[in-house]
Amino acid sequence: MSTSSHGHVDGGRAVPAAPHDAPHDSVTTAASGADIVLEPRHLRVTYGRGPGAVTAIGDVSFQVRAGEFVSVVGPSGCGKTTLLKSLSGLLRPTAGDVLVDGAVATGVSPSLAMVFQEYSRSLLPWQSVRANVEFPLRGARLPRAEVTARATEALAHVGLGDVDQAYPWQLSGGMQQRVAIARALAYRPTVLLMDEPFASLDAQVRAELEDLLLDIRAESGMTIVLVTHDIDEAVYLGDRVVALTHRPTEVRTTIDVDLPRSRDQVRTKALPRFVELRTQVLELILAERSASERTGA
Amino acid sequence: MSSVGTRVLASLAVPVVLVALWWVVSSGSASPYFPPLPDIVEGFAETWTADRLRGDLVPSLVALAVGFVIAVLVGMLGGIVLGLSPRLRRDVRPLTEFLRATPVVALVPLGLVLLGPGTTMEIALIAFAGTWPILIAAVDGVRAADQVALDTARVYGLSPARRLVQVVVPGAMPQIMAGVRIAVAASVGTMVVANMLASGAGLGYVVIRAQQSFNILDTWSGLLMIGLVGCSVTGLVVTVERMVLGWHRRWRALDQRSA
Repeated sequence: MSTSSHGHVDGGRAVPAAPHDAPHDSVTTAASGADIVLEPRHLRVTYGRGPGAVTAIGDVSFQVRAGEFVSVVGPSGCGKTTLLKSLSGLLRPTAGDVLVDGAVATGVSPSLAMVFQEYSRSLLPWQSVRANVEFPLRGARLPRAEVTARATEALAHVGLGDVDQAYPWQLSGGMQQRVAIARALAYRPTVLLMDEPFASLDAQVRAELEDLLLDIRAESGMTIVLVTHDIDEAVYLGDRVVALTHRPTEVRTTIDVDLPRSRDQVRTKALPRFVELRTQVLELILAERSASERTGA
Repeated sequence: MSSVGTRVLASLAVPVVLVALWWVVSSGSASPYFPPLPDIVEGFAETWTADRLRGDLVPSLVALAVGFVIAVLVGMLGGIVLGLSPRLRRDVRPLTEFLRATPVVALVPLGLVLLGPGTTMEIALIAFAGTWPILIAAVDGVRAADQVALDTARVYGLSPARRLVQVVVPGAMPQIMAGVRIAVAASVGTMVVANMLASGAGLGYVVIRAQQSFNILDTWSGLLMIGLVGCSVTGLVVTVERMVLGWHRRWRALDQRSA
């Protein structure tokens, strides 16, 4: 338990006030050379020291543009969660840095929000759904009415407007993850980071939430970085897929998903181009996996 | 509604049967050591006159309340601090292990020497006895804080102080309250012992003086009062726990049903 390992303050750098009050132009900005909102530069994370040290992330650099949906996939055990933790500022990288809105982040940034895979642990069981959504806002010196309004809007957005007084554990897994998504929306980050958010949900609920995420992004223009091990999900959701190597992790390649922006669980996944893309990504991942087996990593 | 009534009745059934049994079996008793229950009940009313209540019950209750509140505060604060700091925990561990293993009865002579007979000494001993169960529970509860919940709070920019107040402490409350329950029993016991060994008044004093003057009836009615005080204080703590931890009880119940 470390409440004091490193602070959340962003080193006093200038953060654009309320990034989402100025809405991102439109979802189409991603293709043109729009603003880079998140950029890991030569990120390296090593656990431990000396001969027992494990380098989880070797050298990771990529750029995320405003309004873009980037899926990050990699072979199992390639340090995807470690990557996301260092992007979010929860974990200080051993080397390299992360640029958020063009400035080097020195801790967690108010421009980033995160949705965790373990929704039931991420939500506070002693607080109602509404209180869970409001709790990141309560310290932010926002007027009370603004906090309430943002939570109401976010909960309505994820279809939970009517259960805001329930406790999270009274809801199904899918609904709990909706609460966590609502909490991130109400926070209005520039970039939403998601760590395998649907991995522990059943296929039907997962498809529902994937489409919810696409709707949210279409309406809000929010930038999303989603880490997943599910290749279909990566291609279905992403504008780009960043494929990682095995440990020590590097970016193997980045694939543009040139599918129509409006996606559909049945039709998109039946498109020949979708099948091509997922095959391409799958081959990369499988190649990485056998490479890691050969090196015994 | 009816199910609540049924449950209350069911939980009362055994005590009621036992008391009835005691009443019936003892009613013909000629033994001076086991007076008939009807006589004890009658004696209870005679023993606990207004003067006795003021002179013996109230001071005991005050000492218990003050000592217990100190135990809760010291136990929680100490436990939280120790729970947060592995270094401090390691450094003071021999001391805490030694102190918690020391029977509080053994401290009565020391208390008498240092503080003299009276309320201050009683409060100190009650507080000492109650602190350890709470402190140890709080250390465990704080250390068991959920890492994902803490990461969530950090990502959303909560300061360390707010993470402590909003995530760590509420998460540790189920364990802390379990410690508080144990502390209640320890505190009541200490109050009685301190009264018996080193006081000129109080619940324990009434019992020990009655016993020493071979007033068996008073001994019994003193015991009855101690039992009632213990039950009431425990009931109070359980009520507080239900208010503070209602969410936890319902969550656990739901878990067990779906498991």
